[in-house]
Amino acid sequence: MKITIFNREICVCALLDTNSFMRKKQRRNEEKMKKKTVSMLLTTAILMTSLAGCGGGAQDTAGTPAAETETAQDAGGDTEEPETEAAAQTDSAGPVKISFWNSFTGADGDMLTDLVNRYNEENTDGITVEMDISSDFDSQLSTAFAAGTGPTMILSSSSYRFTYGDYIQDISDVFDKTDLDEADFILSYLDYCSEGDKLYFVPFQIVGYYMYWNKDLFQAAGLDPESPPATWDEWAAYAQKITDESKNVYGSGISYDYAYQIAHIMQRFGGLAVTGENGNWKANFAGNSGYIDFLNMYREMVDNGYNPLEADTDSMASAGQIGMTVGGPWVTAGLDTAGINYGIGLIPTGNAGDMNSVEVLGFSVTTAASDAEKEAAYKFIEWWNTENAQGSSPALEWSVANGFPAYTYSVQEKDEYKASAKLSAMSAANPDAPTDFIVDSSFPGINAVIADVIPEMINAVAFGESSVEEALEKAQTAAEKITANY
Amino acid sequence: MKAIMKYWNKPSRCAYLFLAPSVVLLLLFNVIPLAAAFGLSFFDVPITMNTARFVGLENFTAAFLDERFINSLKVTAVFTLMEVPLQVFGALVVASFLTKNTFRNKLFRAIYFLPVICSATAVGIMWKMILHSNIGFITAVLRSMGLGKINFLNTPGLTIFVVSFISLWRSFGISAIIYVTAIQQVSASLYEAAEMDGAGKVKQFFHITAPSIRPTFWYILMTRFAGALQIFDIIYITTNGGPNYTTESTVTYIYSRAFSSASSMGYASAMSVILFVVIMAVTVFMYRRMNRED
Amino acid sequence: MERTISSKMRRKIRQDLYGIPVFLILFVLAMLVIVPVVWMTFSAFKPEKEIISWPPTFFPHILTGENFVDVQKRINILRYMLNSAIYAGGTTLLAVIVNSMAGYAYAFFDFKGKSGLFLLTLATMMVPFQVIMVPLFLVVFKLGMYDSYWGLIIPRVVVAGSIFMMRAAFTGLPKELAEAARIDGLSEFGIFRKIMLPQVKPAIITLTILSINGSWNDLLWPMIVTSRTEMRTLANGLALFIGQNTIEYGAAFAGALISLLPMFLLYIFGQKYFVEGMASSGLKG
Repeated sequence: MKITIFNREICVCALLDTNSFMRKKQRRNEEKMKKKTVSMLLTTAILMTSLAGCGGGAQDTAGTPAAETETAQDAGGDTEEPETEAAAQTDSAGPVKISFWNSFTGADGDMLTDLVNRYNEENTDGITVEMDISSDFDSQLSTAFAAGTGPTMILSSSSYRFTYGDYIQDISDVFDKTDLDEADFILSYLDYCSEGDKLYFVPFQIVGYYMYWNKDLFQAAGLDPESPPATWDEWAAYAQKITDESKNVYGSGISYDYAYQIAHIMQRFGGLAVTGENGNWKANFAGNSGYIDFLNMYREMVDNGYNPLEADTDSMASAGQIGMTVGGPWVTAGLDTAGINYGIGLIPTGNAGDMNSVEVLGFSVTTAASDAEKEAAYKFIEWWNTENAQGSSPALEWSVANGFPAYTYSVQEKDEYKASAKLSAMSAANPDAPTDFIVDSSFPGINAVIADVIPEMINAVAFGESSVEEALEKAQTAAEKITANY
Repeated sequence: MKAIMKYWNKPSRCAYLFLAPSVVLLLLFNVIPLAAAFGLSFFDVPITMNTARFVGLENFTAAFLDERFINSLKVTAVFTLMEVPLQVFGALVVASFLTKNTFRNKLFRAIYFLPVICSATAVGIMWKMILHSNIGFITAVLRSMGLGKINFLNTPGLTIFVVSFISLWRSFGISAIIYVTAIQQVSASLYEAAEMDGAGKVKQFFHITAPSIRPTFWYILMTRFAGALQIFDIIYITTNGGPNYTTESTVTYIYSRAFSSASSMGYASAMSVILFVVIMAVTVFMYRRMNRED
Repeated sequence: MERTISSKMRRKIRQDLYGIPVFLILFVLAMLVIVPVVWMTFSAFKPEKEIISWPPTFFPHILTGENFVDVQKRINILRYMLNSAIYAGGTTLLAVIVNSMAGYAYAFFDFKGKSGLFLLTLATMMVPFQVIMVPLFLVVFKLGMYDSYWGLIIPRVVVAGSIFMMRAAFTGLPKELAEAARIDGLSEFGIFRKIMLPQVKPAIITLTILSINGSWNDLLWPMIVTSRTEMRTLANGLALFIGQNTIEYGAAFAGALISLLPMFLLYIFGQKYFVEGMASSGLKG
């Protein structure tokens, strides 16, 4: 039974057809607004031309497309007709403002701002992208959607489709409507962004986790700084050697409070936590020998003092107090600033074999977008992935500057990309290894597994609340509650 | 016109005029959203609130069976019992030393007020860094003093005290300042008379200050109480509920249920209703006592 | 004559004896407060590398202003400060008027439904903001105040705690004051405005500072109710240095100092009025 809560309109549309109803309403409002803006622009244009006494001056104004000014001049005194004509034109080529929300606080958000500003200056379609970086993305997004408003475009993890699916448009036609080449995109990443034949995101950033090791600490412990551990047995052995209580140095830096890190490692040991298909999901916690090994190893390292019982291990790595750690590409930012002599490699393999676990972030267009806005969003996404005269593209710049592996073959082939030591270390993963992260990539309950099941499990083990087996039994029960929903 | 003025000028009637603006705003921006949020507790609603399924009391029964919720209530109770008495009485004692407007007192007041004007985020990450078990400044100082390595933020059983301390550290100043303003309003002639009778400072405090500032005392007690039972921001930034959920307060848990990507608004609302009932029961009790005293 | 002097002296001596432990307590508390704040202040002048280092430092080894330059480069401080000032100023101006009127009514008048209304007011204090946030947003949206200063300010004017505080301040005043003024023929609003309000000046100053401070540091509400960067407040701007995965400590601390300074000046300025408040308060004779 579905019924209304606050907003009758929203709920009625949930019953009928959310998208079309809402969009129609939105469109109506926008068109009204647009008519207003356009007529205002027209009036200004007419005023300006009549004041200047010649048309040439006005046509130079960058903001208002010349076409409109001309229409206004042709029409003369008649105000009714050019207005509608201009409005019709706006849909295809006129100035469009689109709102673009994301949660890129931090230094990379600064770069994103610069790139968006560049687009606003460069593009000749009269498109303005108004970006808003949110420090509380979920709150902002959910309140906006609940009120039936929202941004045109968002940038988020592809798993957002499981939460905000009703508000995210199918954008499968992006390859038809733009010059983007579908074949250039690495297929497994596109799969992440799709459900059946519907595409919900265009990849933006591939987030994989890697191993970082402190070469100076390796040297001090008498280990070869150029050969990081390749297996987890080696990791544990090295951790013991590197640990130096007197210097406050720990060999291994695995945080009990960092579910993503734990998940990436766990997966190397015992594979995916949830497998199967819709209607028939299976949780794999209880009795998973790989997970048991991992938790035992972690417990042992903590007990022996080779791994700190600390939530914030990243700061310790930046302070040069951690021998080996696992994290996303952003870890390098802290290490670089601190001047740490470190190496990057793939996370050691465990019993589960080769893994290339990643999370895909992508652009999506929301149901709040009109057709014109959707088209503008497409143009922005197209620009992001298009090479300029110098053979560079924002996607390439982003990848190289922030250390995120490419999602297109064309970027992978670029010299700047190949020249980056970080990126080549990250791209060394077996291309055929599964890219799923912790659960099957189409399992809608991924967020609950990462937010609740894994933290509860690792905390129980880290603080000796329960045995490894008990913790996994509990995780199994919790995960089965989630799988039962889908 | 005059007649209308006269009609409304009676104390019992003009009270409504005095209250009108606040009541209208309160209804619109507090009571209506509140009622709506409570209504939600009977539904299964996702974060985007576009669909709702009536589930009756299911959210409530689930809450009472939810270990993390029960645990969060305990954590909140421990936090409140530690923070509130220290804040309410400690600040009063300190304030009684600082009432005179001497330079020394003004300086102390200004210092105590500093944490109040820092943003919660800044305070949070500052303490997180200072108390870091490995590279924290205070940890290192204690270690060099031979006190061993204290893991302030990652020890179940200890961390809740640390969090209470940080919270106290942050809002202690404002309670003290409010007391100071209240004590300053106490008529000076009362103290003069007491001085004439030879009453000492301590006696003056208990016989004049304490009774005179009762309303302010109740205000601080009740607001701190409600505030402590809803503790969120400091915990969210410093420990986010860890280690092993030993600092996960009820609102921290509610927030994670409401706004994490695996959210359930209806369930979060149901937990808020339970919390609300608890706070309200205590408040009504205190309100009765307060009224009797007034 | 002689006796009063000696008893006065005795008292003086006794006070001095009290004075030392009292001063010590106050001093220790002040140190507890100030050491972390000074640490943060120094950190704002350290390079990032030194803030997170082993062994940790207290005094900067290298003094740098780069964190402040970074903040200034990354966010439009002036614009954000202006927004913060509009938000804090607008909210506070209205809050002082509305909340003190309500507090006065609860303290001085008897009327039907007083207890019920007051408890309802208190009740709004008992629900975490995060829970009523979404419905509140819907109300603001329906009223057409989304993404405007009005939407930012109006819903935050009435605060149950502030009404409660003003009620406490007014309750302390003697009722005879009002009676005397009534006999003099002053209207009820006149009594409030001319007689009562000046009596609670310290409380008004406290309310003002609290309200400004609350809005100044408010992070969540401005984030939700506005959607354009030009509408963002300073607190929102500073949140940008705390990334999802990394924190830029230097910039965050520098930003915190920038945002703290106006509030501190405001407090010092406000404290001057405490003196006046005290001088004029109380019934003389």
